[in-house]
Amino acid sequence: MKSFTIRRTLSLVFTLLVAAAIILVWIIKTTTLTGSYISGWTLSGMIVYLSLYNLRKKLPSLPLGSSSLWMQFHIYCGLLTALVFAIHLQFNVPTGMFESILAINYLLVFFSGIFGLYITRTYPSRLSNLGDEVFFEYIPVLKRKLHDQIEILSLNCSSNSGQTEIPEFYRDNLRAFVVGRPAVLSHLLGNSSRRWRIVLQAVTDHRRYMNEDEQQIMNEIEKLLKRKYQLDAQYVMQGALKVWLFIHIPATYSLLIFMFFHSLLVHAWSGGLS
Amino acid sequence: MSEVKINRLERWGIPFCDEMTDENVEYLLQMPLFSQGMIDPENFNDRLPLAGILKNDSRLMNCKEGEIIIREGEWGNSAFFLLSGSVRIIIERAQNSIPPELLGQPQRKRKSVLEILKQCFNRDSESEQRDLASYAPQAYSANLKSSRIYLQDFDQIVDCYKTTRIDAIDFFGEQSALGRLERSATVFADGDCEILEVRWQGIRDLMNKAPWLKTQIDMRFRAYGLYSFLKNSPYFEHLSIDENATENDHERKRSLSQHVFNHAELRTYGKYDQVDSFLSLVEHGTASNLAHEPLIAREGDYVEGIYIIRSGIARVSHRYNNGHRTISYLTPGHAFGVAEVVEGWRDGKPTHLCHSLRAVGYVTVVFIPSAIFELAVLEELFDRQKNKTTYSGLKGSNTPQNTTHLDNGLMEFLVERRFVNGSATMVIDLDRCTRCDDCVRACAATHDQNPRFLRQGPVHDKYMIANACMHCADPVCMIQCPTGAIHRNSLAGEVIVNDLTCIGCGSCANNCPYDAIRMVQIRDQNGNLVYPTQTKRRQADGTQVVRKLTPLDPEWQPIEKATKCDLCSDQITGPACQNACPHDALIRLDLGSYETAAQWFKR
Ligand code: HEM
Ligand code: SF4
Ligand code: SF4
Repeated sequence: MKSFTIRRTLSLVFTLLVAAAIILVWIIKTTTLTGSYISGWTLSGMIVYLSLYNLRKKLPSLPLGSSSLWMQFHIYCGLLTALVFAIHLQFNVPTGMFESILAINYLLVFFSGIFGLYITRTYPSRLSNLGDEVFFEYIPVLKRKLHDQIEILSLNCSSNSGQTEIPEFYRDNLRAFVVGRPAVLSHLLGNSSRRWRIVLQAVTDHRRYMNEDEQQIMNEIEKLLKRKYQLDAQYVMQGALKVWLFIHIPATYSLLIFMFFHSLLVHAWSGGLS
Repeated sequence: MSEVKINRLERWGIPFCDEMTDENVEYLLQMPLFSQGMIDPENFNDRLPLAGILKNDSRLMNCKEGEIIIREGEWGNSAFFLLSGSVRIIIERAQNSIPPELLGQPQRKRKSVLEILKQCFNRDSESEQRDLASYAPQAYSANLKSSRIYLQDFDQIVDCYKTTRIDAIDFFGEQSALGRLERSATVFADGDCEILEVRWQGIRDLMNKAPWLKTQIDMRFRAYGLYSFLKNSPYFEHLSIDENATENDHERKRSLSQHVFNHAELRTYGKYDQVDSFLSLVEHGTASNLAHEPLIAREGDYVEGIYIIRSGIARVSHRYNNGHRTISYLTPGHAFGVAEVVEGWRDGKPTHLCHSLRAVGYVTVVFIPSAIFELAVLEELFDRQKNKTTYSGLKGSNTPQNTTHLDNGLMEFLVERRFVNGSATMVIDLDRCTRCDDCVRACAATHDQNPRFLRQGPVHDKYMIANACMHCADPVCMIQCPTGAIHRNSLAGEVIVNDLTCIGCGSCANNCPYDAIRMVQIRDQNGNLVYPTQTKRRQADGTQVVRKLTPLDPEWQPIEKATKCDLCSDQITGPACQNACPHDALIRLDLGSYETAAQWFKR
């Protein structure tokens, strides 16, 4: 079995070779008008190929090659499009309205792809580090339950253990964390542990003023708080792993449409290939 | 609600062969096998009468010369009683056995491209829809009847290949049917003969009621099991006789082989059909206490011989602090104690075992005493004077200890929970899995819109063992299936459920320790649940009463079927899950093959 390092190196070398070839062709053709045609058709060919991945995923039982193979070609071919795109635009910023929209659309697909690649390669291990695998769809329900449990524990404890500050402490220091929405950005960036540390510190600080019974209750609450933190992190990261595709794929469709009209226009104006 | 008539099936709802008539049964009962006390009808009770077993669990075959009855390497779920005539068993294997072309190996049935396309675009239907017409008994039996295949050149084959003849009354094929193993030899008819084929559920009942049969099977198990095993073991390959050997050579090899056979012992550990304890073990893990695992050989004991695993899985462990650390696990073909025997032989002094060997579940082991192994293997292959004899020079010494290593914790996890039983265990690398569920969707798309696994299961470090059928080396799910609906595919050995004969009793789902089988309510082609229309009850006098069911009856419950991963055996792409994972996170891994497994975990 090939290790991932070997695979990555080989693919990268191959991609660089293709890139070199493209640059060579560009240098030869750069001055002629047909150069733009070639780069244009190459680019659209590549983009159509990249988009076909969506179709491949919808037909899992056809012998079209494994999805992971497609993914590999997709990534490296996707990266190469940047070069062809730059060549096609002759390293200029487009001027026309239509061309600008087309270019922005392309960039949206491209950079969402880069972002997607980044998170698909980094979030999985962060998710597994959290432990406790949960289905994305279950998380809201689990959080709801957790919230109820925490409230019952912290708000009802006054009745059986006499005078206690826990409900107040909960209201002032923990409630915001428990009912609040997850700190999306910090979970995305991977520095959410700071926020968690603050909550934990508040609990630890407050323990000074608690008796045995209250400590017991606090232990329970702390466990649940930790779970809430994990669920938040799971939710944000799993969500991101799904949501980015809601940009990448629709943008791909619109790119295909714009591309189609772009080629029509170009050929209409130039009177076709000479 | 469905209009189509369908009944809840019972143990004998769909017979093994619908051509078995009462006359056939009468005829059979007159045969010496049943009339001369070997299998005595008197021993059977009304609930499970012998006539019933014959009628429902067996079929009568009249074979002509050269007709192939069993093919080596296939997975069989039935045994054969030779009632009259004789058959031949080919006793050589591997390079000396008949090439598969001559045996007319049936082709694997896969969906056509057209069917695959239909499956791709047929996404909006309800899950688990069935064509109820296919449940008609005729349809099922047509399914079972395989075309007959004859050896092309009978005389030549009998001349060229080593065969042994067995004559009526006798039986064969029970080893693999009962042991859930591959057929170990090809059997074909030697002239006209009459054969009674009995599915293994029937054999099990016959064994319970006929002491003669049980004794015979036990005896055979020891004698034949041992013989065929030694014949194929790489350790004794040098004793096989080839053409260019001299007469002297022949004689020596033959006598050594005989010597090995006389002294080798077939030993069994653990209970063959015990699922309960196994279930709870898998669920709870076993920590460091291995007391429940039968000991095969104990660390520190004086070396008495080598142990070659014949079936099942054995754990090699080493005492460590207050527990036992698992060093590796051995699967069929692997041997234990070789290094120690070699060392003792070379140095000429007694040695002690460095590790313990324990049975994980049901294990059969061939034990060869040191003196015999030294004489027949070491003295034959090595020169003791050279003092360089090492264990790695031995053929077949593929014991994993000395090759690629698995992380210790991971190995403990895999052995403890018995995932090493799996030949296609679904392992997900959680450090690469983006939780996209493409795998689950692909599974649903290829299986009636109902995924046959959940991306869920025990996790060790970054590896999840998902709740998909692992296609166990020893599939305990099959043990209590009353109709034999859950069986091994005769070609590749995947464990699959025959939807037509599944009676929805749930035994397999209860017995599978890995939660890999789900009972589902089926629907007809309009998407409605299917209900039984009548029920049968057997009365004390043996007659059956049929009663119509109405929605008010408690038995008025939707018909259920067992569903599980079939390893996409009818698909052209192989397992859809693995094929659909974009990130190389999911694999169907043969954990029985330590090397491949270790390589993947190390990638
Ligand atoms: C520039 C043109 C591109 C087009 C038209 C395009 C199109 C697509 C399409 C249609 C999918 C299928 C998604 C699905 O059906 O689930 C996809 C997936 C993906 N693309 Fe792109 N893509 C492009 C560039 C890139 C680039 C440059 C990268 C990163 C280097 C990239 C990374 C990915 C990844 C990681 C996925 C897989 C998502 C998953 O299944 O987890 N794409 N892309
Ligand atoms: S259903 Fe369970 S016991 Fe049977 S082969 Fe699959 S994993 Fe093993
Ligand atoms: S297809 Fe692969 S990455 Fe996606 S959920 Fe399944 S195992 Fe994980």
